[in-house]
Amino acid sequence: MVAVHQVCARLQFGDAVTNHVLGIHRLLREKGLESHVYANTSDSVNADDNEGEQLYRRSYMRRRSDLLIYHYSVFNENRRLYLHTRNRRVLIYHNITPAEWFEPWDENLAAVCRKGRDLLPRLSGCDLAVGVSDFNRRELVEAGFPRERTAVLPILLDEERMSRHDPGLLERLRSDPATKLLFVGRLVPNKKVEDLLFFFAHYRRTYNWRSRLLVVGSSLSGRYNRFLYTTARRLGLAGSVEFPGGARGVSDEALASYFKGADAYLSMSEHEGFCVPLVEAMFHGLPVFAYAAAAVPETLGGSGVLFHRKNWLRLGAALEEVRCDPALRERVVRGQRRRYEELSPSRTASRLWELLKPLLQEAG
Amino acid sequence: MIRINGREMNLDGLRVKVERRRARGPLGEKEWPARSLKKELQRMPELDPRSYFGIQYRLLRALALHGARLEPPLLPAGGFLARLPGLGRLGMLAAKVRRRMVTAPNEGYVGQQEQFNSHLIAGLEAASRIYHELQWEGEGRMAPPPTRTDALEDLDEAAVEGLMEATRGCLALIGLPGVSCMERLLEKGRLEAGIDTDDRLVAEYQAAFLPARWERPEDLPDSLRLEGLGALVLMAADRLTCEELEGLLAGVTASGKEASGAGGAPLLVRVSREGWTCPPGFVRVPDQRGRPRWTAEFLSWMMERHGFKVEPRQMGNAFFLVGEPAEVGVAPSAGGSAGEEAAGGAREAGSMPESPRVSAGEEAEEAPEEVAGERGADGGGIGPGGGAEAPGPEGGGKG
Repeated sequence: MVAVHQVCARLQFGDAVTNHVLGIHRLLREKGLESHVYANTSDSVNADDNEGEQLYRRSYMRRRSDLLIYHYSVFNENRRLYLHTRNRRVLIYHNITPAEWFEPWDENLAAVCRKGRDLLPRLSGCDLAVGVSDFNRRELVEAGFPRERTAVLPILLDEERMSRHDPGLLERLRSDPATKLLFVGRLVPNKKVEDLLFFFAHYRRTYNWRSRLLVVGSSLSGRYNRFLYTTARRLGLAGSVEFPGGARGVSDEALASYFKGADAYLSMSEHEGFCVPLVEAMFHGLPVFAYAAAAVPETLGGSGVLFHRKNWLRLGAALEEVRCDPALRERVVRGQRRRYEELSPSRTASRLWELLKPLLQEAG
Repeated sequence: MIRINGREMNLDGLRVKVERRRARGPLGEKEWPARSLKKELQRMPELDPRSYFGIQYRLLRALALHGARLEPPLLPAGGFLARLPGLGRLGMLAAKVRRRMVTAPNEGYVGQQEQFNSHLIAGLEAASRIYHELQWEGEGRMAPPPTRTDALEDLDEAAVEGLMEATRGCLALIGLPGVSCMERLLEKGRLEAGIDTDDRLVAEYQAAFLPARWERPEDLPDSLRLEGLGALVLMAADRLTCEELEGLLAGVTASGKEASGAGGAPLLVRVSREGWTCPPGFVRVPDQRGRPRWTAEFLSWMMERHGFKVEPRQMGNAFFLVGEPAEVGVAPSAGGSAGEEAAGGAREAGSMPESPRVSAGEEAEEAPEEVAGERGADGGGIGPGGGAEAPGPEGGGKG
């Protein structure tokens, strides 16, 4: 019987790559296949799913009949498993943020990112290279992967996880009369969280002073964090901007509550490999306003509000139009719902099966 | 380019809407009173600085009477806030007010914010009305403040230095001690606030960008945050009646205990030259112009009764009683007035010698200030009730 092994850098609560790995794991088991997950590190929530790289190295690495799915999102020691395995190899590329984004803020992070991107061409010897977006797939081709062996597979979403919410938090958010703009994501420079603050300061001053910005996500760089907090204070936003999450992020329930309780989702990010929060916002019926950069236009797929220039005046006006015009808001949400159907877990699962089936048959 | 659901947005139409929205303001006049205020203020001509600060002062006072207070206090004019064109200094006030009304909900206290706004608007309306009256009567200028007749001379440089050496942290001054003194303390970062009940004087200090404010003596212990305060300096003890002094000391001791668990902040009481040099046994003595002054002896006794260890000290041209709070304050007897203490219990407190006992003994149950009042003492003006006691022609004296 063919076994499918997945190797990733970490299994971490709330992490998009982790959810994708575990989603595939569940799907394969539902199909009656033997599936294993090995991570370099895992947190207490996901410890049971991690079987440990040692097991793979000792028991499965030499089996030609098995299939290895390597999730590449960060430079990690586990690359050796991928490079030296005798399994058939599938690489899922989640994208690595270019080092330039981190250089002014955190040299260590920048170095890790640089190494990660430098390694990409050396990983091209695989049976199938999958990008979670066409943007990622194009990067793979540019890195020397044969075009005919590349494909696109969106991130597998967990609807059950997205549906659970924290009633207390949701009540608090809904009872607050202020307009709540939401951003979800790690506080990293490529997400341009400072642009969110600049825009929000302008929006409050020009259009709607009774508004609040919720920046939900974990933080990575202390220096960048300090910059964000100082900027918020300097812009006079202390108190109207909330940064729930801290170092570990928020729970799934809290995250779903933020999506349900907000009025609009706003992204200024300039580098995204897929951007799961956009799809989560679509799932929760939240109008999305996103800057057109990297994989964002592709993920939105013609839905939501996409802006190509960071013109605060126009963006604020567009936001007000959508906020104040229920019919327009409904049109936007309807468009997003259509796009969500295209990215829904069932469709992604079918697509995954389409991609893996020939490989499994060949292996079997 | 902005695309909604993949379709390009009509930016020309959007621009028209933007302009309309900007002209209309963020939430409309009813929801944003500062906008109405701005329109109202636009109809007013330029103000001279004195009128401006007069209005600002009245605004603060109206707020205080409504139980509200601006936190943080208004910034000095000419700060970083931009002027509103064509409005002059009143425009700056409007800008500050608008900013304040915008920032408060940031802190998430929406209910408090609404209450605050209603008080603020009431205060502004009062200020605006007064301003119009002044415009009508005095061509936009307030009358020059009258010279205060009962004030002690301003502290000289050596006195200010001495004050700073004798204390730590920021000082709260009760009674305004002179602009130069306040400026020096402010420069050194040693000034918390100056408090007085003389309207004109407070306005004058505010016109010099000093943190002076109007405050009633009975509110002082509640309004002053003793926690973290370096010292409380009573500059105008002569303008308080004995009852007010007693209330103030009791309040300061109680809030100090509440804040720090011990006796609270140190208390410095300024004494007049006459009160300092008079022979022992007097409660009040007249100065050269016949105005009554509390004696150092009596003030020390009052402070010790409230648990302060008192040390008399001369600093430059001024005389101070420096009171350090004791670990466990000596509370005055429950329900007993200062007069009763002076009459019967002074010996227990230990420091008030015979004279007040003699004077109070003659008047049996009366409070010392009443005794002194009969001999020409004056309540002064720091409290709303100040001035009720008319100064006697011959001033204070030994009973």
